[in-house]
Parts: sequence; C-alpha cells; structure tokens
Amino acid sequence: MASNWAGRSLFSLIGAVSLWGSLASAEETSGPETRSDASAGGDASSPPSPGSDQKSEGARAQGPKVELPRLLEFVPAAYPEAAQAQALEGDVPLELTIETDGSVSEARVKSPQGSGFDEAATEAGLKLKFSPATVDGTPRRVKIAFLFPFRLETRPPEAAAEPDSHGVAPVERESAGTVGDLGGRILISGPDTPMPGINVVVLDALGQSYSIRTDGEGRFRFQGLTPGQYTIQIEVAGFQSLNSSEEVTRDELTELTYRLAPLAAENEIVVQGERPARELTKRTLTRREIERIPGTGGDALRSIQSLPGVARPPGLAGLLIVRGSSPQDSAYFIDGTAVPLIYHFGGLSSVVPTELLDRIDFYPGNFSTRYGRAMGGIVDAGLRAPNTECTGPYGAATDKKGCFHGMAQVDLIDMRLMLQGPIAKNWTFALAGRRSYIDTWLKPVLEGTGASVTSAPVYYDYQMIVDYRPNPGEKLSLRFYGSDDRFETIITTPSANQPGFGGNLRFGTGFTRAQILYQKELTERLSLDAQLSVGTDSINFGLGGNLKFTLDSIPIYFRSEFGYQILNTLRANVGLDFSAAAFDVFVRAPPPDGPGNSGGPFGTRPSRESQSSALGFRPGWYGDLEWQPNRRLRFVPGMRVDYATDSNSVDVSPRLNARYALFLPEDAGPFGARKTTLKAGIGRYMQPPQFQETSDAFGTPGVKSNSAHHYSLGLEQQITEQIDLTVEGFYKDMQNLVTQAPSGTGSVYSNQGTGQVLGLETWLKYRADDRFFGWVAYTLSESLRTDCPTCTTHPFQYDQTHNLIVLGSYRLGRGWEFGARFRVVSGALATPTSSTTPIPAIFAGDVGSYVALPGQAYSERMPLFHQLDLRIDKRWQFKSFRLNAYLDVQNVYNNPALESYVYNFDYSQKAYQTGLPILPSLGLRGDF
Amino acid sequence: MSRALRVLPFVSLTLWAFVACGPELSPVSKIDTLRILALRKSAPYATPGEVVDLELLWEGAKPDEVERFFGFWCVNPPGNLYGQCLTNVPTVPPSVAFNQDKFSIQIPEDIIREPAPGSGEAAYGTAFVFYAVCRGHLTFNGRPIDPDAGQGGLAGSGQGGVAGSSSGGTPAGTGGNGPGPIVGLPDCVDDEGEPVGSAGLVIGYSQIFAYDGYKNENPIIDGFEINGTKVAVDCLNSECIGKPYEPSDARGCTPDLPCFSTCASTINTDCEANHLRPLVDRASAERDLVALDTFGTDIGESLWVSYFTDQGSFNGELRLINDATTGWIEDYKTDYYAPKEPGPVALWAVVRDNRGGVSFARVRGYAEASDE
Repeated sequence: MASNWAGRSLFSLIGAVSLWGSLASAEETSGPETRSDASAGGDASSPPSPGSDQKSEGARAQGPKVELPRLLEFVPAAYPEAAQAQALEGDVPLELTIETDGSVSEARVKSPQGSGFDEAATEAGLKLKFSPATVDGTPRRVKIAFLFPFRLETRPPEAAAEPDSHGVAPVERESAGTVGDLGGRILISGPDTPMPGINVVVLDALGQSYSIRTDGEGRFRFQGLTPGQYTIQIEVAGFQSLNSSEEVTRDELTELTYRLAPLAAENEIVVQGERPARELTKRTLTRREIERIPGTGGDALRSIQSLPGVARPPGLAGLLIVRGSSPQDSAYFIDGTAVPLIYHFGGLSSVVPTELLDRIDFYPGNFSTRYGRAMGGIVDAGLRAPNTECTGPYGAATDKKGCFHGMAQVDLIDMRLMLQGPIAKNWTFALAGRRSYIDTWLKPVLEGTGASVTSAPVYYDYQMIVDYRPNPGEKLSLRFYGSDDRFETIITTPSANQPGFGGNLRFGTGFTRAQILYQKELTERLSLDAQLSVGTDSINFGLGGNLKFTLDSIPIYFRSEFGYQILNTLRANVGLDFSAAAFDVFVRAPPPDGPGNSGGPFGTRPSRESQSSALGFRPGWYGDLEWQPNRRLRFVPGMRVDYATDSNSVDVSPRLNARYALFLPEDAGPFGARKTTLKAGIGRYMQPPQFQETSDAFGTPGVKSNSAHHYSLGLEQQITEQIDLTVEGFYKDMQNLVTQAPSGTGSVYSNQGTGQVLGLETWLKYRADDRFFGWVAYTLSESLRTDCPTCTTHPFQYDQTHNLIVLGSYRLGRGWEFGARFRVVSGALATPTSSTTPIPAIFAGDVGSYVALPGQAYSERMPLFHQLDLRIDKRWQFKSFRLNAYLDVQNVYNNPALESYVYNFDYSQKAYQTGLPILPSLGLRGDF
Repeated sequence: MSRALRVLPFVSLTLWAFVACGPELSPVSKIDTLRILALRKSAPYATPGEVVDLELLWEGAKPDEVERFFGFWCVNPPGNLYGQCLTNVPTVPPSVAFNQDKFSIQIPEDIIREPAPGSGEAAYGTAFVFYAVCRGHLTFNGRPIDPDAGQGGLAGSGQGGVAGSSSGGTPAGTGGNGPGPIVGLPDCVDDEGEPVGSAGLVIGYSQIFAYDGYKNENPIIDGFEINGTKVAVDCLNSECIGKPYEPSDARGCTPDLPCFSTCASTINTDCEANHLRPLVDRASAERDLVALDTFGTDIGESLWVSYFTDQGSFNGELRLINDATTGWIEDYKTDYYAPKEPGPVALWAVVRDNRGGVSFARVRGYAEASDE
C-alpha cells in the first residue's frame, strides 16, 4: 500500500504535466485509474484510502520529489500518402500511457484529424521511448499528452529532386563557386538520440522559407544556397523551439548539430490541480496562467482578480472583494499563517513573488472548518520547496544531483532576485528579495504637485526558506519572510474641501514572520500537520496633527491538525487553530460620524486619543469528517468553535459540504465519457469585530462577532479533455454585522446590521495545453446591506451586478506568446448628493469648506467599466539559461475608467474621476 | 485585528489624489457668485455664560440684494453632529436674527458635560449656530420669512422650535430622537418664486466649544504682502463685515493700489506670477493645551490660509502655515495670476486654525495691460 506522501506526489505529478496539457491522469499501483482535474472540478468517485490523497491540503501541497517523463527516442510518423498528395497538414493530439519502464503501452487519439493522420500518429506514438515518471525515485505509470505535427516540405525551387537517404535536398548548382550547403543533425538533448522526420525550416534574407524533414538519423541538408545569412527554425511539440542564425559560405558545407531540450523541466505548476477533498470550491491557476495573464504583470496574487466571484477593485486599491463581501471579511494566509496584507502599496504587486509560490488556494465561499474568523473568502498561498533539480545544456535532464538555480527580473516597478539550491544532504534553501524603485520616478512627480516629499513610495519584501526532508513521509520547513511599504510627504497645499488633510502625511506598513512547518506520517493511518509562527506587524499612519495611528504587534499562530483514516470510506480531521497577539496601539482621530450625518471635515471636532497595550487570544478548535460512502458521493460535515478575548464571544460554526458525481467517465453522460458533478454547501461563518469596533475610545466594548450563512449549489461539467464548465449559485445571509449605531443611543457600534448576497458564477475554462489557455468568467450578483432595523436597505459599496472576464494566451511559436484580457464590469457605486434639500452641501464655517448633504446611499452607478489588456512575451533558450522579455499593456485603448464622482467646492458641479490610463510595463527576466 | 487596516494604503492614495489630480471644476478661490467666506467668533473657545459675538463675512453681491439669517438653537447634539440639530427639536430656547451681519449668543451656563468615563477627555460642551445668505427671498418649507417679525419670528411657518422664541425646546443636552433626513433648511427663491440654488444660497454652520479654563484666540494678521512688499489692506476682520467688495472706478494703478500685469495666456506659467501672502503673526500658532493636558501630547494648532479673488487665479488656493506636529512653514505664499482683461481686482486671505479661530483681510489691486 502506497503511503499518503506517495499519493500526494501523484497529484503533484498530475498537476505538473497537465500544465502543458500532456499528463492527464495517473494510476496507483493498487487502485483504479483515475482522471485528474486541474481545474476546480474534483472527483467524488475515488474512495479515500490510506494510499490515496485524502489528507489535509496543507500537507498535500508539499509533495516529494517528482521526475517527469522525458522523451528518449523519437520516432517520426509516416506522412500519409493520400494526405501528402492533397497537400493536407494536421496536428494529432495523442494521450500516451507510459509504463514504469518508459515504454508506451497505449496511444489514444484525443481529437481525430482524419486523412490517415490519426493512424500514422498512433503507430509512431507506440514506438516512442521515454524515461519513466518517478516519485522519489520510484517509477510510476502515467498518462501524458503528445502532439504529432504533420507539415509538408517546402524545398528550395531548385531542389526538384527527392532528397536522398540522408535527408539531402539536392540543388542543381547554378555554377560552381557561387553557392554553399547547409546541413546537420537534430538530436534530443540529454540522451543524444536522433530526431527523425521532423521539419527543418530555413529562411533566407528575403524571408523566403524552405523546409525538409530529417532522415532516420536525424540528418538534414540544404544544397545550393546562395551564400549569406540564414535563419534555421525548428519547432517540435514538447521541445524547446530553436531559432538560430547561420552563415552559408561559398563552396562550403556549413554543418551543425542541434540538440532540442524537452520542455518538461520547466513545466512546474504553482497551484496544485486537485481540489482538496474537504473543500467545496477551489479556484486554481497554473504557473503559466499566472505568469501570462495580461494586465497583472505576471503577479500571482493579482491574477486572482481574474477569477469568477472576485470583483474589480477601485483603481489603485489593492483590495480583494469576494462574493459581495467587504475586503476585511476575507483572510489571507501564507502556508496557514495569517498575514495582514497580500498586496503592496496600491495593489501594484503581491507581498510574495510568483517565483516563490508553490500554490495558491483560493476559496470564494463555503470553505472547510480549517479556516475561521472570516466570512468572505480565503486566500492561502504556499511557498515552494527549493528546487535543486539538475539540468544539462538546454534544459536536458541529467543524473547529477543537487544543483543551484537563480532568477533575476526587472521591470518598470521593481526588481527581484532569487537563489535556491542544496545545503547538505536532505537540506535545501531558497532566498528571494524584491525592491520597488517607484521612488525614483514618483518623487519628482509628487514634488511637481507642490508636495514636499520626504520619502517617496517604496516597498520591498524578502523570503528565506530552509527545508529538511529526511524521508518521503516527513518534512520540516523553516521560513522567514516579510514585507515593508513606506511613504512620507508634507502636503503644504491641502484640498480646499479637506483642509485637515494637510501637513505631514506618512504611511508605513510591514510584517515579518518566522515560521516552522512540520509534517509527518505518524502511522499508515495517522498524519500530523503542524506549524508555529511568530512575527511582527507594524502600521504607522499619520496626517498632520489630527490623525495618527500606530500599531505594533507580535502575532503568534499555532496550528496543528491530525488526520486519521478511520475506514476506507471515512477520514477524520481535527485541529487547533490558535492565534494570539501582544499589541501596542495608539490612535488619534476625530470620533466617527453618525449614520445619515456628516460631521464635517477633520478639524471641526477635537481628536480623541487612545493608547493601549494588551494581549489578545483567539483560540479555535475544528474538526470534520470526510465520508465517501461510494464512488459518487462525498459528505464533509464539520464543526468549528472560536473564542475571542477582545469581544469575549464564543462562536460556533457548523458546516456541511457535499458532492455527487452525476456521471462518471464510464457513464454515458451528456458529453460522452466526461464527468458531471453536483455540489452543494451550507455553513455558518463567524468573524470577530475589528479592533477599533471594540475600542473604549473609538468603539463600543461588547459588540459581538459578525455572522454569515453561506449557501451554494453548483455543477461541474467536463465538456472536452481541455474544456471545463463550472456553474455555481451562492447566497450569503449576513446577520449581526457591526455597524455604526444610531446617534443618541450612546453607542458607536452595534450588531444591528444585516446583509444579503445572491449570485451566480459561470466559468468556462480551456485548460492550458502546449499552445493555449483561456477562460470566460461571468459573475452575476447583488449585494445588499441594511445598517439597522429601521434603516433603508442599500447596495453594498462594492456591489457589481455584472462581471465578465474573457482572457486567453496563445503560443505563437519561436518563443513568442501573445495574450489578451478583456473585462466588462458594472460601474462602481456612488452616493449622490441630496436631491431633497435646496442645496447639495452646507458650509462648515470653522474650516471654510462645504459638507455634502448625502442622498440615498450608493444609489448611483458609474457607467460600465470595460478594459482591454494585452501581453506579449518572447523567450530565448540559451545553453545554460533562459531569458524572457515581456510587454504588458493595461488599458490598451485608454478607456477612461469612471471610478467615482468628484465635485467642485460647493458640490454644485460634478465630474467623473477616472482611473488608470494606458499603462505599459516592460520586463526582463533571466533564469538558470 | 489588522484586517481593517488593509484600506490604509487606499486611503493614503486617496488623500494624495485629493491633492494631485482630478478634472477641472470651478475653483473655490473664484468669487463670482454669492459666497460666505467666514464666520468669525470673538471667542472660538468660550466659557459657560460668556457672550460670543459672531461676524459673518460674505461676498459676491450687494447688501440690498441679499437676505441674511442667523439662528442659534442647538447645544450638545448627540455625537456633536450638526445634523442632529436639524433633525431634532431644539435643545436651547431658539433665537434668530434677520438681515444682520453680526449676532451675539450667550453660552448656556450648564453647557459643559462630563466626558464618558475612561475617555480621558477634558469636560466640554458645544453650541451650534446656523446662518444663511440668499440672493433673493428666504423661505421655510415654501413659506416666506417675515423680516419684520424680529428675533424668533418666522411668519406662520410652524417650524418646530423656530416659530416661537421660547417654545418647543427641550432642556440642554438631552439629545435627540434618533436619525432622520435633514430637514429645516431654509430655501431661497427669486422674484418669480423659483429656487436660486447654490449660486444664490449658502447655508452654513459653526460650532463653539466651551471649556472651563481653556482659551483659543483667533489668528493674528499683521498685514499683506505682494511680491515681498507690504501693501495697504482694504479691510481687516470687523472692518469687512457688512461691506462686501464693490469694484472701484479706478482706471489704472495708483500708489495705494497694487499693480498686476494682465495675463493673456490660458497657461498661468506663461504669465507673471505675483507672490502674495497675509502677514500672519507666529503667535497665532498656539499650543493645544487641551491635547497636552488630556493626552500629554504637546502639539500646536494646524493653521492654514485660503486665498480668494474675483478676477484671475492662483496656483494654490490653500496653503498650510503651521503643521500641528512639524511646526511653522515659512513659505505659505501663493502665486497669483492676473486676469486677461485690465481692471480692478480684489484679493482675500482667510486664515484659520483647526480649533475654530479665523481672521481675514481684503486687498484691492489693479490689473494693468502688460507691455507685451
């Protein structure tokens, strides 16, 4: 019986190869063959067993070392004579089953092309020879996708004769001494086995191209070429493209040997493909998708904003708005440890660089009891295990063990470096750092506006990982990471409407975390996943003398989870999720306004101050059962209990998720042998009040936790091998929301708010293959809030009725890739000025500015938002490193996104505040 | 605990956006409609029982075109929110005045309220006054105001707490009945009975803090400086009250009339920049003893100047003079660009502190055609 670690590795393997659409499933030695699913879909059809992957998702993400299959012997497919006679070309995608000895036992045509191509490709596919896929050195049987291209030869016009047995295209020489030959051999890098039957293309200086196929020894030769510069292009599915410039000399044969590197080495995945058993809905993105989604600058966490259920944040706000919930209702984790921020200043980039991420788990709702203290969504990013795999020239596999890798990237916003490699036996490390240099160009801009800039915006982050893996079933990981953002300026020309917004404006935020992760298979049925982290959070915000906020805290997190396989159909998980923080906080600010009233600009009331030091505890206990009575059905009931000392409240959160496989691949479903899965979830989610809401000075001690009930019902349909459709409806019923209390009640806050969110998410996704990935995501939703029992219900501030995202990226060949993202989103909401008063604003004589008389809250919507982002990448593969350049252009047609209203001094005139204009970003990245 | 703080970066950028960008809208510094520039109190921080004199500086119309209204009927509204004064019955016996530019109120003896236990605040009370200027005829709920009704009279309006000078009130400091829409604002109509809107109606409010022992003085303006030279001031503080600016018949610069070169270009930087500022005494930046005694924080007042003109424009309408934490800012002058057409111009400087103090000055000038 295989260990759980081995089970996890299969999922890693599945996810890894499915990135290029090649590895579609894996098979346990003792179990039935199962189909993987790299998207949100899962499979309720696999009964959990001690050997299968039914463990905690945190443990699952840390799989052992996986070696992907590599092509050792290439066999060309014979060009069907009839097709050749009709000048037909085609690409035949195959699904190959690779045995543990590397042989191909089955070749199945995934998309028939006809004209004899399918038979030829199948015959050739069965003759291919690979190195076997391995998990910690143990060979595994896997399935991969493989593409056989059929391209006609285009020989030089002079080469009328057939090539000889050595792939030579003879040319009747115009005259001796005026032409030269170009020839050589194509080999697979690593084993140096020849590549017969592949197309070799040469282009002359005028752009005229000729092509011939290599012979059985992988040889080719163009004869009778006019001396000069030629470009040789070779593209073979599954290999690095080759694009080389060569010189043809008169009366000489220019002979070359090219080694094509298999692509498998670069195709790691960031987000693991399989949905954890306990979670109802999980959105996943592959590394390629993350790095290539236009408009995100290749930033992993910003790519989440292209998923269904996530609203578009306002212009420069680095906010995550999930299923109609407030940004503070969602929680962010790095490997299970809560962090206060995931985006740097203005949402420009994430606090963890993409290169260091192993996975991102994004749960938009109905998440399991593993997560608590949040009623929105969950983002849990996992740091990667250091990569010490060795590769030879052009990325070819080698037998060498323990190698170093590095990366350097620079773009217009920041620069980053990463180094990883071995330390000693079983010990590995990774170091990474990033610093922005916005300050170099923004400081002059700010100074141009009259601001006296003390410290222009700058951010940096850093990560250090040391992993110890003594055996496949045990892992210890030590991490230290942090982030820092700073900005300081003196505003000497405050806005006329907000004279209090003047003086010394400073903002700084930072956090550090020292984290220990430990995972171990205690027995065949019992596993442990534990972690401890200690760090610092610091926030410093001030403006003139009226506003000041400083927070210094030492958060401590401890989480331990035991998983026990009770029966083959039943698994139990229990855990402790403990959070504590010692903090010092100082606040100086005017007290908040009452509902329906605006108390005037800052400066009209004296500021209050509060300084406190305290130690807060928030322990939580949780447990759930994974019960899978048969291959089609899975139930995950769970319960979570939280306590918070700051609000002195005990929160009980029962939850239930269920999945039912309506059709399995062996059934005759509506789309043939494809899965159809129904899923549903219901649960209670509690969130303690924010600090300021229970503060003696600014809040109301005694307010209790917010609560929300999540309901969801969905369908996951596999339409083709590459296309998945997910449709999910959700409803959130929020109660006891902490809102500002009605004036005159003696309280600042109360638990009188309610809210409802109703929505439907549709995600049609083409999973990444070797050429293309893309999706259409559409979310229809309505999010409402009622601040008190007698208050009028109004739309939520960030409510977006429609949110449509269409994106795709296509590999053009020769290292080029082109992508586009188009978004159409309902306009932002605004609160208009009163239409029932004689004037829209009243003059505040003490500060000399006007205070708007507000109308119905969020009752006006800005015009529709739409934006096109484009991205183009070019990659060069050199012998020992790769170079990638990209141009990412946001808002290509410079559509003025209308974010809000701006008013003149007395609110008698208004205009639109526009968002970001066209914003190109140019970057360069090198890897070795 | 710190999740709510995720919005802070957004707040910071928004603050910056307030300063840095935005589409072109009518500037606050241009006086081309009826405007209230300030309400000056003889005692920004008053003591219980003290009589506080209020002076209303308004501009943009002639005195005989404008109806004025003063009212005082609210003390210690819930949450110290002005809106509570308008949505609830009065908390003091109301007193009103019409077509006067000066008004006096007596701070109730019992205005000071004990702070909430544990808040650390000094005991204080607040009083609100409301006022309006109307280029037309003031009305309440569609009914005209009878200026001859004198203090406390609104002809047959029945407006709670306003119709009678001493009725309908509840004891000071009892709070209100809860939130609701803002009502009770006067309107302004023209001779045809049509509302004049923001161009002809300004409604304002001011707040007076009452402490036992703490005082705050209005800023001190010692003069006015243009391009480094002290110039004659047309009026200062009380001298300006009831005397809105009217252009003179001057046809050119005189020794007493500062001269500016007209600016033909639509781009200010192509024209002559005139550096001007009021001469503010550094003693104006007082220590905030309330903050010091209550919180132990030794900070000063925030002090800033707002610039206005009837012709021309500024490159900065508002300048900070003193930051509460970093102190005095020497360079608080602004650049003034004269209008395209020659003629008389007026410049105003209104200096405020963040504790209700205000002073102002008016300067006359003349924009003369440039030689170019």
